[in-house]
Amino acid sequence: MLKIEPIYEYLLRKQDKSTVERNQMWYEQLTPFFQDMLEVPYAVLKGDVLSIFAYGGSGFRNSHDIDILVSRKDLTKLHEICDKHDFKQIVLDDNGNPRPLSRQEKIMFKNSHQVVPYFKKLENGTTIELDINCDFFWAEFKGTRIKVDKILEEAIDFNLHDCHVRVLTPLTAFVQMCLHHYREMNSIYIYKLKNPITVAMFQDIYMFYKNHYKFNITQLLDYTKEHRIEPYMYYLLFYSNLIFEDEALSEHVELFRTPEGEYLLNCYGLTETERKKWKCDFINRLNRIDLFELVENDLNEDDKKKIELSLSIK
Amino acid sequence: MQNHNLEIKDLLIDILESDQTDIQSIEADENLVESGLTSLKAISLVILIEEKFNIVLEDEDLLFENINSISKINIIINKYLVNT
Repeated sequence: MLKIEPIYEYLLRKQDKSTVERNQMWYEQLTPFFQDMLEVPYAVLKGDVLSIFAYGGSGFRNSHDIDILVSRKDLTKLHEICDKHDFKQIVLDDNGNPRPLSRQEKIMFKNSHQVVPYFKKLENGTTIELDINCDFFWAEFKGTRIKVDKILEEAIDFNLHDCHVRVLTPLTAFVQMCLHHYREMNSIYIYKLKNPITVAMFQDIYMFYKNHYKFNITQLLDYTKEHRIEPYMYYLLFYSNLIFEDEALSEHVELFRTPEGEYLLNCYGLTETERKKWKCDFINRLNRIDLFELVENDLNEDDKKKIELSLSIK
Repeated sequence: MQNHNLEIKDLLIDILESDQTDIQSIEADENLVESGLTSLKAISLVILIEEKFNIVLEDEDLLFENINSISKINIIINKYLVNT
């Protein structure tokens, strides 16, 4: 039983049967694709893998796509495999029709943590999106990046709806999820689309932590220190504990506390130049519908142009 | 290798919205991020370089780390002018 304020209960993730069935269909149809994907080091991220790691079963997270981590050096080979299996790299215009990338968008993608997504039409007429990630961090991150090649060397075999895939170890999957969630919660571009600071996002972190899926807190702390990501882990564990009130987590959070982590608690933005202080406290940011309106007046022209460019390919 | 530093600095005046004196003082190997080159400005800089010199950069040269100093931009420009 989760210890949480009653007002948040309706916001919690629950298993959805239609999501389970849809995911089963996806992985059944993509089995040949994932068979060929064994030719390159890769790992399936987030989505149903995260659902199973954190919640113990499929269908707790309703993703609209499948995320894959590969090394940049394997993008050409990946493209060949995608092409063989009728995945096409496209972006969609406002009417949902494929259109070419502008030069600006191409340069932006080249310098971001993602590549242009792939789409494939499935047997039932629906389309599946494949999002390719080449980094754990956001493009402007200035610290020491975690080496993707090394992480992928340690990827493990996993049975996902009777499809053989490769996934990150539970420890690195947790770290990847945390960095992903931190990025989403602090990206001003995402605020324009939705509020990513939600009970459900912190629930992912709490449930994964709570299930201690084959890693323990000492391993996590060592890994965090080795890669100098304490501030981000502290931010996420601190707020997860605020929402879910867990005695063990309260003690563990303190292990990750750093001055920078404390500073980040009341800031948004992913870079030093973007970073600003929130004008309201965390509880008032949580699941707030009009989050973008809170930051809009703080944005400069550069920020606004970047948002437009990022959204043009969403 | 031809020196295009003057033309590059002209472009930087527009991109970085700085005056000529500030741009002239930037050393060839100085990281342009320290002079205010953001990722968005870097995108505009690539496009301006391509237009100015009538070149099209290959995908692998589009990375910002290849254009984050005047000397690196010079190298890229010369690479493509030699090939045209």
